[in-house]
Amino acid sequence: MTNINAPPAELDDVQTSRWLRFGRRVLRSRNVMAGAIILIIVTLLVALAPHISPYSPTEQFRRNRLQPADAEFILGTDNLGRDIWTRILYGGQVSLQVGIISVAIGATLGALLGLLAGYLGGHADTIIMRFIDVMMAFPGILLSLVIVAVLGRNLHNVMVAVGLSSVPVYTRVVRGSTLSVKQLDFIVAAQALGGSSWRIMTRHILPNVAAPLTVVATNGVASAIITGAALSFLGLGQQPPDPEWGLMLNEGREFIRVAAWVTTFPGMAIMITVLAINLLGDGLRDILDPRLKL
Amino acid sequence: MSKRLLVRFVSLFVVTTMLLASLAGAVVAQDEVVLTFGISRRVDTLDNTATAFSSVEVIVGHVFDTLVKQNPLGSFHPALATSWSVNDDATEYVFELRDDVTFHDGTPFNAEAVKYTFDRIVHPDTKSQMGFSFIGPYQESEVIDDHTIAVRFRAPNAAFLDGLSHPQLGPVSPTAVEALGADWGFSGIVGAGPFMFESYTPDTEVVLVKNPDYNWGDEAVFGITGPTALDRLIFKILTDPGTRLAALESGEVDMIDNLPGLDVARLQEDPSFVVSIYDQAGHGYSLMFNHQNSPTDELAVRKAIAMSVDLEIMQDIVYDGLGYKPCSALTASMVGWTDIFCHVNPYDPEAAGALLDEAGWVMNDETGIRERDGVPLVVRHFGADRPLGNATAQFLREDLGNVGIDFELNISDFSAYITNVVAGLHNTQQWWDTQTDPDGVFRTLFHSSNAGGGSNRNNYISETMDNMIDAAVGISDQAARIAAYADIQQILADEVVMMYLNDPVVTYAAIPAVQNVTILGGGFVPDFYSATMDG
Repeated sequence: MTNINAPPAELDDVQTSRWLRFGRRVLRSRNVMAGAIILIIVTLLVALAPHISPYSPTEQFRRNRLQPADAEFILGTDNLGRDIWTRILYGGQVSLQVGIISVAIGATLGALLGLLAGYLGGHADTIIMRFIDVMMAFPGILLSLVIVAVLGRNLHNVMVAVGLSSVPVYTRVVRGSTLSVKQLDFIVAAQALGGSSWRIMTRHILPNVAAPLTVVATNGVASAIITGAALSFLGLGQQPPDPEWGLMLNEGREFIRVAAWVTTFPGMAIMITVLAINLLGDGLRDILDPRLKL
Repeated sequence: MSKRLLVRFVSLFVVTTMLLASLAGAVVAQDEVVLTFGISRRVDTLDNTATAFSSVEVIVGHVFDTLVKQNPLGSFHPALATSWSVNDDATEYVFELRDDVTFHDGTPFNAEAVKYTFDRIVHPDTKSQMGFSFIGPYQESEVIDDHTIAVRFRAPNAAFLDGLSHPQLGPVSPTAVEALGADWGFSGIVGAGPFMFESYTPDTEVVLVKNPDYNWGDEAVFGITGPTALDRLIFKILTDPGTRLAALESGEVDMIDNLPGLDVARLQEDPSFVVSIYDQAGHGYSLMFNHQNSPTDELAVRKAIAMSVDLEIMQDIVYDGLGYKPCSALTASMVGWTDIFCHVNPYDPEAAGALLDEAGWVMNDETGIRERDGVPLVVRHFGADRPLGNATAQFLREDLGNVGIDFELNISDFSAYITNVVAGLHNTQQWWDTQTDPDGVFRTLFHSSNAGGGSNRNNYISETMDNMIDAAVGISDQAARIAAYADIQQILADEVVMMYLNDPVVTYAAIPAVQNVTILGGGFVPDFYSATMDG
């Protein structure tokens, strides 16, 4: 039964309760909670680095070279006598930035292309998707390597490179969802009412493909952090002496037999952060995937 | 039906062939004596006459025999030349050549081939770097008869015998050079040495095989003559120190050079390896100042940089305590060495700051970087991405930052680095090389003929210096030559043409089976001609 006289407040109630349900599921999901808590801690530590860290990330305590963890240097020092704990905190700023910004670049471009391809169909679809197929033919890390090699070694280029190389993933996800959403009655209704393509894409389709996009983007942050670190490890990312997790791994590699802590701790930082993001992403997928709804 | 039969036959054939091939391989492998050396430095080209790297000498010295050999003590012995004479002012050398030598391609070795080699080195198209320094002020070669050659110089060249003892001046087979064209140095090289080229995989390995016809080894230097005991000599290019060490410990290679500093003590105690350490001759690790770019075109800036770096502690931090604090372009073991640089430019950051103040570079307390007329004091350093180079650059950045110099790091992959410094974009870049004669050191680093993209990346152009280098090499009286080199070092110290970071030691580690390796080139060149693999 539909009460046509019902006040609009009821619609708000429906939406509110939807959010409540989402919130309740989030709280019940152990994955999401664990991931979110770790991630919040990591983010806080990294963001507050200047206040927490005891030293400057490039300060060299040369008399304390390659010193194992102790009270003075809680994670030890590297080959130039720099405090590893401080460098991990500052390096995290870079790694998290690379993760988030490159996903923002990749997801925005990818979503736009996916929407266009899926909604417009026809030639637009063919051209965009063949282009995406070509990009898919290259492994992501290889594509990033090529882009950085062409643009030159610096952090901005790493973000652009990692972002661009992830475009195909987002395009395919968004296109797929768009294809199914655009068959639905409310889209047909919006078309009948004369809504412009752009308006329908942004106001009606985008919100409905947001869920899968969010899941893919969350996991994308994790892989972007790894790709960014890999590029720095290969000497294509962060310029020394500023710290970055991948670069720290590279610099410690030579001393791994005599001073394993130089590589171990940055490696653990990458592992913990990526694990947290993946937990969060998987948890969100479980919650947002309509097929898994009970 | 018949198709299936065919498939069966073909597969049977393939399997049998593979079995036989592997059996044959096993039989050959058992008899073959193979030595594998893990080399730490890269190869630009195997063209001995053109290479820019002294490290390529280690490989190509086995393929190209030289006219004379220099024993580890520095005295010269006949090799492809049986005897020689020099005129009084060292402008003309006459060599009698062996008449029983053939190149690996079967063509005869003669005076024509020697002339061809030397003319090739000075030809601009060859873009010769090390060879060009070793040959000095070359004018011409004259073929007197088939096995006699006269080599003439525009100016006296007393260092020519030393240059000749390096494979960079080793005679090449003219027939092979012409036949291979642009592939010479990459897909093939042909000399008259104890080993023949088999294959080269860039950045991976060089494989050499025994020259069975070799019958002109120098017994005085190597203790043997005739063919080498090794059937195959493999150089694995392993630039990463950790990888190189792991390759030795896993048995993938039999010997390596350039041990990671922190592992030396551990390996010395390990009975499964033999470690040997030599003081490196010639030059060491250093920092070049580009004299054509601001601000390193200013003496005050160069001097301030030299006086701001704590070299004493740098030896421990960057070089793991291996080697010595340097005081000259020459390492301390070289004839003619003086420590004048350390007296003229001692470590004194405060005095360095005062020098910069005087030159108008005033500290901006907000940025911590000095400025003059609003221009910050930025020194652009270019480097290739290597652990040692990176540690050096970051060490320098810290010390120079303390006196208000922004030592800007531009670390990139090797090819981008080379392109940039050859184009002269740098203020500073790191240098390393090794030589056996002072002339080679000074000519490589400071002679204007090597500036502008060559080995003089100081881009230091001084007629006075050119004349002094050219004059010193012509002095045959030892004491007078030493005095001339002292004068050169005085100028280099006063003008702070470049600065020196480490007098290195050369380290090797091998499994005990590797024996009788002759270490030449002032410690830097392991020669495997006389080597044996016991057990």
